[in-house]
Amino acid sequence: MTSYGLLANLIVDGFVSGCIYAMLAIGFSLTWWVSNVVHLAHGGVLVAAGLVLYLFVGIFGVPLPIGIAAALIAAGVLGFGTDRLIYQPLKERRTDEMGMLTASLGALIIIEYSLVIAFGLDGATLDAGAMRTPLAPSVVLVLDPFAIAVVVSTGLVFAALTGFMHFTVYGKRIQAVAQNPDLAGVLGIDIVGVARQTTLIAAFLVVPAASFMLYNTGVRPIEALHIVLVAAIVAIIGGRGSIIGALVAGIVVGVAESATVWYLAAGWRLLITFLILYAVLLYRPHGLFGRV
Amino acid sequence: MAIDLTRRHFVSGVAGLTTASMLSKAAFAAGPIDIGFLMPLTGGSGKLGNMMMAGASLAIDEINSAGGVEGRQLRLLPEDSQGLARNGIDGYRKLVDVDGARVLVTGWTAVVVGVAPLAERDGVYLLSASTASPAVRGISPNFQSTWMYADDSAKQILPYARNVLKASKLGILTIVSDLGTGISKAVHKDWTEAGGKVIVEETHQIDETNFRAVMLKMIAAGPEAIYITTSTGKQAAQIVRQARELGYQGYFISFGAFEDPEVLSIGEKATKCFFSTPAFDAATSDVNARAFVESFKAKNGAPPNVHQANHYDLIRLYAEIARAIAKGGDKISADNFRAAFKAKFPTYEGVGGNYAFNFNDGSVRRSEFVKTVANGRFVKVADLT
Amino acid sequence: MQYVIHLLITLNIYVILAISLDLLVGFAGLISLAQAAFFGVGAYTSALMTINGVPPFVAIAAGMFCAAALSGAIALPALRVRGIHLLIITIAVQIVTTLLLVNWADVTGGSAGVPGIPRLSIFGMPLSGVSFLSFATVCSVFVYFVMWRLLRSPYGKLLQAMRDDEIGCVALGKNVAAMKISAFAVSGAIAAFAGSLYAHYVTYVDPRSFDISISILILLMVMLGGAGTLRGPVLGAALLLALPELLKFVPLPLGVGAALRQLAYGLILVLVVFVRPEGLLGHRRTADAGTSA
Repeated sequence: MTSYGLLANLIVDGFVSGCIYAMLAIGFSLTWWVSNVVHLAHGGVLVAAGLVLYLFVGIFGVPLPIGIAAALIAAGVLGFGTDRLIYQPLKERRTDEMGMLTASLGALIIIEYSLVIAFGLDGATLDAGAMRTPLAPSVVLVLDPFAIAVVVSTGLVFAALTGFMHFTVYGKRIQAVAQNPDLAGVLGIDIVGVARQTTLIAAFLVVPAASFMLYNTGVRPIEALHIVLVAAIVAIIGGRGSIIGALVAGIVVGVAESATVWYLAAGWRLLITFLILYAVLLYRPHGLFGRV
Repeated sequence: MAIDLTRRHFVSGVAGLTTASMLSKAAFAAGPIDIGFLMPLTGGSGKLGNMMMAGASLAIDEINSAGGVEGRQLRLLPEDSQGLARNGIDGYRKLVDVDGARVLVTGWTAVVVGVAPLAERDGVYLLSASTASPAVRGISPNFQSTWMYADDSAKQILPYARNVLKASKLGILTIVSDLGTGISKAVHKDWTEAGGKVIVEETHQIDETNFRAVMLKMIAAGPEAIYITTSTGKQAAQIVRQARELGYQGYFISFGAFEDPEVLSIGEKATKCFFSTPAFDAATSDVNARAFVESFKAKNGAPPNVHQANHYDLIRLYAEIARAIAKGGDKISADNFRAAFKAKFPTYEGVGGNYAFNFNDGSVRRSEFVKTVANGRFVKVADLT
Repeated sequence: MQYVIHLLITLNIYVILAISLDLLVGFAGLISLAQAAFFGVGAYTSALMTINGVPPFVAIAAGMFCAAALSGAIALPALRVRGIHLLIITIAVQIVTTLLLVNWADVTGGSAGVPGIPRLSIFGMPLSGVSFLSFATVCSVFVYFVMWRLLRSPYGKLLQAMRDDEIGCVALGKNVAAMKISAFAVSGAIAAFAGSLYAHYVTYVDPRSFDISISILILLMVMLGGAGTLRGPVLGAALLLALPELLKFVPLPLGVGAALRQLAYGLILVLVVFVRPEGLLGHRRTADAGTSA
């Protein structure tokens, strides 16, 4: 393989990782935008969904669609539960920003270590099997059915979400609440109900990312903080609540990280992500697609 | 004022604890011999530490039911280090000051490096059957390892890879740790001296799970064999699986840490992996080793692994040294222990093969095997000298 | 009694750390999860310089300076933002610092760390055991006192005013940017001082002694004891250091002890915010009591 062949492979691989990053981030970004909650437990919800999928498919041996349904239920219950038990009561008490962030961090730690106790530190991995056979080994090594499945799913999820936001009454209500909650309240929109719907949507949105991670690099409970860190960084870079922003930022971060490996050791990938974040915060504090 | 308040609270709490432990000591005035077991029992390495303790406990049980050491019973005092320097020092202080242990079984680089200077000052002797990092080589006259340093053991497989597998172009995937760097240097040197060529060297982080990018880079160079330096089975399994998914057909070579059930879980993809490991085999025909395997199975319900054999041997060796000291009418102290160890056991034959100690730098030479993965099991394919 | 002395020295070091974070969290209203990074910067700078023959107290000052510079840099982009942005950027700084300590092995010794750090000595008398405990106690009392004075100075009052009403401060023509940067710098320098004490006491530093779990622990000390008071973090540090020592005498199922402890930390974080958001020793702040702290 030539040096440029390697770069092409790395970029394709980074694009695929970027799609997963975008899916990690979108739920976090929506919750932040609509409910004004920094949902750090998002990382825990994602890991939980992945491990539930593993439990059903890897251990109980049920077919994948049933496993995904179980993961959706688990993510929904956990995401909704965190919101109802922690975030909403604290908002009603008008807890300050510091308190909200602390509680959110606490929720993440609780979920993370409950999962450690239940599933062990090593977490779980499943084998994608034949999905991982390169389609054109002589041209691009990393292009296999699995990569195509990731990209297509991401496209579908983001298209569906955009359609939902712009063409359904539910989506329009969510936008109204996010942009001006006071006005939305005056207009008779059920703000609490809309926030609940958003919480559920955000929770369901972790499942595709969790599934792909389970079949790719595996999911480990102790990565929950790292996952929500990536989600938050992508959401900040893309712009709070921006769907297209999350997609673009996810792919930018994924490709930048992967391309870094071309000339640096792989350990420095994270550093590149942070440098992008630092630059965005310095020069575009509201993100690439953020509304000021 | 505030400081006074909390200080008092704190001291009284600790004083309470101390009294409690003194009482328990008085109750056993006839005097069991205490062995501190300062190992990770919880946290990231807790699983491994507990596994090792099972080997040590079996040896203690056997020795005690056979009458102990010159009539005195052995007692293992476990203390959780979590493999971290700070917790290790906390645990060391408790074992040495509160419990009065003079010899500790310990492990993990940060803990050993953290407590070694304290041990030297306090007159405490440290034994380890789990520290493979060359960073602890020669750290203290009060430290002796019974597990080969990774840079020594890692290169054992190289002649086999060169002469039997006929590999020439080697890639080295180094984990960014003291262990990884040490192994990587030793492998590089020996491979080059054996006439092979190291054509690509890459690194990965300790907690890395995604090896696709780094594997692409390595595969692009076209190695015939890749040496992997990670010491966790989970990571080794991920590396091999992800490389196979990218179409890598060549060999993987590694050292003892490769022998982990996680590697077997990737199935077919784990073929063409070869590694060297200390000469312990649960399917052995050696009489002593056979007896150990059987009683371990009877107690724990599963056959022992190499770490459990190492810790079993370590406690047995400890008891032999303690017996020699007792026969001479001396107390167990670091100096007496070192002297008796040097005089009586420059070599030792245990269930984990033969040990030859080098007291100058605290290292050991052990007999080793080459193993590979076949039909979902680790099997021995050759002896190493 | 070496064991008790050891625990008390550790307590003094963590008291200094908790007070340093309280300056940010409690008094300036700025969240940070990078405190262990500055702790580490101080420890490593001090360790590496003294090993290479620099006098210890010069090395300690250098460590404090490095940490202050790094800490101040955090506040640069955080000027226009707070809350989540600050949280994420401090986590980033924490992780990058750990990454550097592990990967820049030529200088930092990598994951094996730096052993053989010389002990401190004052007037030719080497400090260890009781004498080190006395020194560490003097240090923590000194830091407590300095912080107490600082918070009663006009600067301290302004910091607390910024916490309660940032926009109001800007409107009054106060330089909020300079205040945030200086608060971070002072806090980083104090944490680095604690790091130097740690390095010279333990005589060994390694990256995992300064990772994000330590940052979370320090935050927990402050929130539990009472952010915005000086006594609070002292109590928080004592309670959270005593907890694991006491748990050593409670039989826990092997293998999950560390996870249970972390779980308990998470529960405490959430419970404190619900039950006593001002912490054990904090005083409840009412909406109109803003600047009268």
